[in-house]
Amino acid sequence: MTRRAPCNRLSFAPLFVRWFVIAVAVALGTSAPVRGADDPLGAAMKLYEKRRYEQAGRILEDALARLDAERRAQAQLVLGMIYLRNADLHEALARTAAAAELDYLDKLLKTPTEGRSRYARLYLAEALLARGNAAAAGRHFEQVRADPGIESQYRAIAGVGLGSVLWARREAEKARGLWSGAGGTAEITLARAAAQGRARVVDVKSLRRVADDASRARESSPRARRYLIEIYLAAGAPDQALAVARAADLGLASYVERFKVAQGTAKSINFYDLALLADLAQLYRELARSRLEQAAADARMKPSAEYYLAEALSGLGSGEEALRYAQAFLARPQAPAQFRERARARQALIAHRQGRVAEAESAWTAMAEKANDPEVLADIVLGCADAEARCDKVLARVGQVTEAGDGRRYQRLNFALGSYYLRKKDYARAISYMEAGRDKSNKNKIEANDPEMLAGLAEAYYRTKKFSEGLEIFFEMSKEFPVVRQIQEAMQGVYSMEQRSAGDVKIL
Amino acid sequence: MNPKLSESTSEERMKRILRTGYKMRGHIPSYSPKSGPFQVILKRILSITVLGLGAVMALSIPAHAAPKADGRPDGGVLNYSEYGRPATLDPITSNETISLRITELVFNGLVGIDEKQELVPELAERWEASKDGRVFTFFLRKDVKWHPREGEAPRAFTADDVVFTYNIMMHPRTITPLKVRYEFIEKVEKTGDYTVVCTLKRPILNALAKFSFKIIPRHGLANPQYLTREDRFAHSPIGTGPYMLQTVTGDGEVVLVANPDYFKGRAHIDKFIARPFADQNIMAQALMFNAIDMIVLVNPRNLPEVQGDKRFVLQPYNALSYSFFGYNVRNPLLADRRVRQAITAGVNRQEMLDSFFNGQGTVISGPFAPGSWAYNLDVKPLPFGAERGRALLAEAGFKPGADGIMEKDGKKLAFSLKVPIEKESEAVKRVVLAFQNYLRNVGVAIKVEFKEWQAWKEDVFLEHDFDIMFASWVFDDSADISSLFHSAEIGAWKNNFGGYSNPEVDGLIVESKLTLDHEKRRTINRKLHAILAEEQPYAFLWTLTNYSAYHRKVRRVQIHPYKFFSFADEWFIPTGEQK
Repeated sequence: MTRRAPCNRLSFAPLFVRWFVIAVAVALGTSAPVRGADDPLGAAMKLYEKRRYEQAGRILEDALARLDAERRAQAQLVLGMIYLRNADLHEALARTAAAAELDYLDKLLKTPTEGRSRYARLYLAEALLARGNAAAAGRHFEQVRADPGIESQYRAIAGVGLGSVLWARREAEKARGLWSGAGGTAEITLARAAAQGRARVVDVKSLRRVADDASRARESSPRARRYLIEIYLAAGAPDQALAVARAADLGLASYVERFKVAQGTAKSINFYDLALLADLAQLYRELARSRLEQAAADARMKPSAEYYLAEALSGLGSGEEALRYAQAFLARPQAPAQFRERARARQALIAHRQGRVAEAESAWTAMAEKANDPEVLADIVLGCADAEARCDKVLARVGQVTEAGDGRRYQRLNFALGSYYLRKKDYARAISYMEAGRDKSNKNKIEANDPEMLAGLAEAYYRTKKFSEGLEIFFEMSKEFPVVRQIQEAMQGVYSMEQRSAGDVKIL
Repeated sequence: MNPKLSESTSEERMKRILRTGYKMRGHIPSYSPKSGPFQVILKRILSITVLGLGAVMALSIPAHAAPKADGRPDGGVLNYSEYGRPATLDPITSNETISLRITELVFNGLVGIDEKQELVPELAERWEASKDGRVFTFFLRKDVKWHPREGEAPRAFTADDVVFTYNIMMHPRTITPLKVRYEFIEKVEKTGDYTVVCTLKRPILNALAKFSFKIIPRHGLANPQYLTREDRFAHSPIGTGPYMLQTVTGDGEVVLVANPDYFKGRAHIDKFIARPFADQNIMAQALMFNAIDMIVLVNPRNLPEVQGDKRFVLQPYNALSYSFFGYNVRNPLLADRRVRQAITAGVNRQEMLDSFFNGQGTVISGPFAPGSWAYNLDVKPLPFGAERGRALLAEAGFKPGADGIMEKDGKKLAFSLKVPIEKESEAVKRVVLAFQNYLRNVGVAIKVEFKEWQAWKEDVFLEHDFDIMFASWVFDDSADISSLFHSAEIGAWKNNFGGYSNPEVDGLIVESKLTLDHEKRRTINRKLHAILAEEQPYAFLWTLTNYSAYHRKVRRVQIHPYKFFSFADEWFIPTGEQK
């Protein structure tokens, strides 16, 4: 569920953040803060408003140590918000990537024998595993292990992957068997540790040791860096994982398969780790929790921190804890009405995830009937989307609101509706709503259009074979988020195979 | 009337647009006899006579094709704006998008491509391919008729027309950019009145999609051997498509009417009218004032205005296009790559995009649009820097003259820049003036010349009488740049207007056409992108934010991202909103 502070065309500044900034300023007895160039908090907020989450996060992280206690708490709160939005974005990117990359890898496997990629199968197996399809992943891992044409390192890595498949099938002993053994290349060692970390069969200290040793290497491959992120996350060390992510070019290919030819051009195929996007989503959510918990230690930041902690913990699967924070926030009389309602919408989502489906859907319906605020309605719809719930009455009510309103003013609500229909695989409707909310004058600019919405729109365009529209979106997005390179490559690959055109060009 | 418009130099045109708009909404008188016994009898006599006449007519005139069984109403007129007037209206000789849109309404191919990128039958109802991918047999529909010329009965479409089309296309004297696209075909033969066999020289990727080329009638051309732009057919075409050409008015409006015999069922909308606009800026105004119902490509500066008006829908379209300054490398000064690179380096493309198009687009680095599958994501645009430009010129042996203009061996670095007048929007004027100013800083003199569209095309594509030109290309999904940069495509009316020739590029283009491996083709295109980005046969500029806009009353609108009107026979206007 996207639980962002609102953005609109007239002002990018989230209303809730303004509320908290003013509240803090009043508490500090200062006037409304002037944000100068030497003010990291102000600079970060400006970048956050422009959705430049990576840059905003870096500025604040680098500045944390030199801020006084009061401003550090503010910074931690803002960092929490930045990481939450970045997490949501990377989750959306992971979904879009899965759509394109699974197709692409599958098509690569189906090309005629001569010139067929050997490594597509390994990457397909890993992608399937990352998306929870262990059974299909297992079949491919087995074939990779048996293929003498694949380098031994990657056959060993396939063995580790197969171990993860067996673990998912609760065949623990067989899994441990595949994970056992020592030595091998750095990548094999890290693959093993990452798999064991995910399965929680190794203690945190051992994981840290493996990761710290590998981090000292002068250069790490993209694959090794991905494993390091996973290991550090499993070891409860998100700051170390962040350091690895920051030092990497996240757009680099994990593996480049080069083919030999007697004459002419030798083709090459770039492969990427689909799991990296979900790893980053988890990393940013863990960082959000960490920063918000630190912010919550400050009495002035606590109410706002509670609001966002409910979101962070819900996204991390800690439903009970999330519920406690939501309730704590709702118990505060000074919380603004809009955010109170949004917290209630979140409560309903948490309830849904805990299996209290009827309670959640009933709460959403009741809220939608009374609400006129498009931000609240957007949160309700996004909750329905996240939960993949049937929310017919909510949609009917929301449909009335959007029909009457200006698409751009209700940008977030249109985005929410688009997300809902995207999850329902009604791509035409998804496109219709997202385009209604899209600032067309700044079509692909993340400053004007939520990149999470753009990622969803790109997926809908991809699914309806309007490939060039999706590629345009990511071309622009890659300037701030180079990790989307893997999506671009996959979409280009599928597009080149699926397009049916005669080869025409005209003067405009 | 909007007071601002009355100040415009295009006031007369707007008035004409509005007057025409009123005509289209003109009241059609209806017959309503008074009731009374004599009138009732008269009415009955008239009814019987009409019915009888109708029966006689039904016996002597073939019935029209069945209407579409989709329950949607027929009727209405759709007026849409165009950037200028088409040079020709046939699908063989034209190389501009204005003509492409019209031919899409007037003609059909053997196969079509639907919105899901699937091949669908059109003039061929089915086909067979040999196992080796070299022989394609098309079984043609037997219920297709050519649009009739005035006074003539419609003639049947047969295999002869397909063979004829191929022969015309490939005739050495037919001037067409299509030859390079279809060089892979060895022969096209009929084996029956409704069976055609196409034999390829070799198997190719996406072979079937290539047979979407438009079929023209054997009886349609004045010259049965080859087609030139002077042939009547090029200006008064007949096809098999959902719309027939009714007339081209003195103002250059192209009027198309629904073909009652269309084999897929008569199109819903009665009439399409293409209205040329010399000035892009008033297209949005014309839409707002209901003088037109659709803008094919909205000027980016008008997007906020159109988006804010709930009467209209904006659909993204035409992502695979880009603007450029093209060089004539026949000029020895421009034959030096360093001079071309210096020019590109001397021009701040991002600044121009931001200033003149509100940043609504993206600067590109090479011969493909960013939305293309062929775009090399590792190749970045040449950086801007006047100093770097001057350094490149110095390396090429140029020195600044007394007037600051670079010279070498007594020759000044001075060039003509020819721009088509239909592109004379405010933004384009500013772009060319900015180009001129930027290059002054590098020591290059540019003389800008705006020319009328047809004259500009003759200068560039026929006479090659230019040094630099400004234009935009639009591509389909194939990313085929062979006609633009292969040396065999240098010549009259061919797309390699600049005379660019590079054996390595030629070799890669040929290799790309020969391969049956998609990933190999991607690798080759990445290489082509890198080479052409370095070589700069064009100063590659940008891809703009492209939307078409139309009134909401037009329903079921699917726009083909390249051909635009591929699905226009399905569009309809509810009865109450027709004019």
